[in-house]
Amino acid sequence: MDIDETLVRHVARLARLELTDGEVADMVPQLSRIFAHVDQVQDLDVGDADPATQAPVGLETLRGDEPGPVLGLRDVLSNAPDHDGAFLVVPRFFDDASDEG
Amino acid sequence: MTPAPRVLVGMEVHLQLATATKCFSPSPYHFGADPNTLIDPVVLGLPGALPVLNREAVRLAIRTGLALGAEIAHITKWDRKNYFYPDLPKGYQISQFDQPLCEGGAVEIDGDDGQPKVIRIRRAHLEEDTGKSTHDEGGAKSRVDLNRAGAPLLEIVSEPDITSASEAERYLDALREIVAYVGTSDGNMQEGNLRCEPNVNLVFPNGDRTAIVEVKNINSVRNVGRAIEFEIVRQAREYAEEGRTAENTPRSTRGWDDDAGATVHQRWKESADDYRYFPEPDLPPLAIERAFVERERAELPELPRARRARYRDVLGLSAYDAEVLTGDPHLSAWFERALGGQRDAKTVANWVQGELMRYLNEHKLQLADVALTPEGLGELVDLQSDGTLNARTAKELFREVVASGASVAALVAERGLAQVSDRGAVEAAVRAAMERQAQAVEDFRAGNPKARGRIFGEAMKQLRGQGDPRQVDEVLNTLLG
Repeated sequence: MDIDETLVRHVARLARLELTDGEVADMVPQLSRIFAHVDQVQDLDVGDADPATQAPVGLETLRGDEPGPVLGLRDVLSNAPDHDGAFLVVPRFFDDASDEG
Repeated sequence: MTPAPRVLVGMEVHLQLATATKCFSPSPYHFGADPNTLIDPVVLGLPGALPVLNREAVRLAIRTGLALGAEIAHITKWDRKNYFYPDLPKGYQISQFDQPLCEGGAVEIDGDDGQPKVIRIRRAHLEEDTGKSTHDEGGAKSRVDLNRAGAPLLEIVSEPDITSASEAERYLDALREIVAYVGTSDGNMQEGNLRCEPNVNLVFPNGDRTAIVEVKNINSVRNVGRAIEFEIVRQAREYAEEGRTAENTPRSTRGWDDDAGATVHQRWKESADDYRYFPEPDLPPLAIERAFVERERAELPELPRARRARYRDVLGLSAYDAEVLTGDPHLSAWFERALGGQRDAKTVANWVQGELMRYLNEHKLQLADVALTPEGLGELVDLQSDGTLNARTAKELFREVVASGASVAALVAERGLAQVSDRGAVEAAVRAAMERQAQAVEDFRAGNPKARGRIFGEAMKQLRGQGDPRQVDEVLNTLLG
């Protein structure tokens, strides 16, 4: 896979990372080496096995619809930088909203 | 003047499935709970927490798919859709990308020309819901409630076969009716368990087309129609005045502002690739046996459009009656039980739509609050049609038993309410009435036909309202000469 500065900037934007021009320049050879490393997997002979991540399971293995325990409100809020009563509070977002569809 | 464009609307509907727990964790979910109280480590995406799929969510999704005539996948799989949003704690949504649970299918509606019209379904896939955020007016903060995060959603995507705002409204009504019949979702837009995002664009006779706009944040079927109407006008104006087309304008998302009655630009769309979908490593693909699918298919109830047609064509009800009685599956089931398979459909329909609906409306009640059973109404109908009760007594009895649930037959026996149809008793009552209303008899014989009503009324009074009016009329004719 060809890694160039445009791709690095694009991925950085999707990951909401602010990179300086110097960091972008550094990333190009680093990411190229990482991809080259992973690409070695392509050389494996897997015969005619279907591409699959895992073997499928049947419906009988799934969880029944019985409610389990929930976290207490204090625990839910404990990792949040800010909260207002029971609500988590974040900086107002809208314009930068991603698609929830 | 630009010639009228063709309107193309495709619908994305998110249907919250009526499970007790979330899609990928046993955390309970129901509408209206205190904020952030229906949460477990999976919902929060805490380190080490792993998703486990809810079988009931899959079953309800399959059942809905079958009701829409979709093909159910033999193998379906889960994918991560990556994006950052505060109401999505993990930083990705578990969804389905290239192997959705359901493909194809259709919803039939009445087209704008009054003819049946098929709206094709492209696909329906299972995914998890996000939390809910509220933005203070003009404030710098947003507040987040994660209760809804992880609830199971079926996203139903239609082909752009809808060609007007009113067809879009009828599509949603039809879809809501279907899920109400098969019992897979409450389908309530106000409570957010059915959400709809229309995708709207226009095609002009010269082939120019406007960029597709997706409209979000719509909370009622009527507002879906209003939003589409607004977009048709707005896109046509931007095309005419600024030459905006899909060639020079990217796709965008707009939000519906109910107060302004307008859509408001939110953002330009990222391309699908930017979600960096990849197979969910924490969930294996799912194999769905055909035996399971066929069992679910066999258990589907008669669907609303088929039932409506049967009420019209087999039971002989008017289109209006069929529409009202099938509009709500509970009402329809009640009607069918009252009908009991052999009673006159029109008579039973009149009782249900007349007295029963009037009672519900007057007392602001739901059908489930009514003490009278459908079989009880059937009994009442039988007693009226075999002549035991006259119409007035039947209505009085109805008003009593609808609230108490008492047996109609028992009340009739207990109070001697059976209609008096013994000819001797009727004659005696009419004679007594003629004596008491001697002046009226004289007036009638002197040529005043109105006076007859007073004698008739008196005769019915003598019979304590239980006379058969036709018989009283007949006897009165004989005796008055």
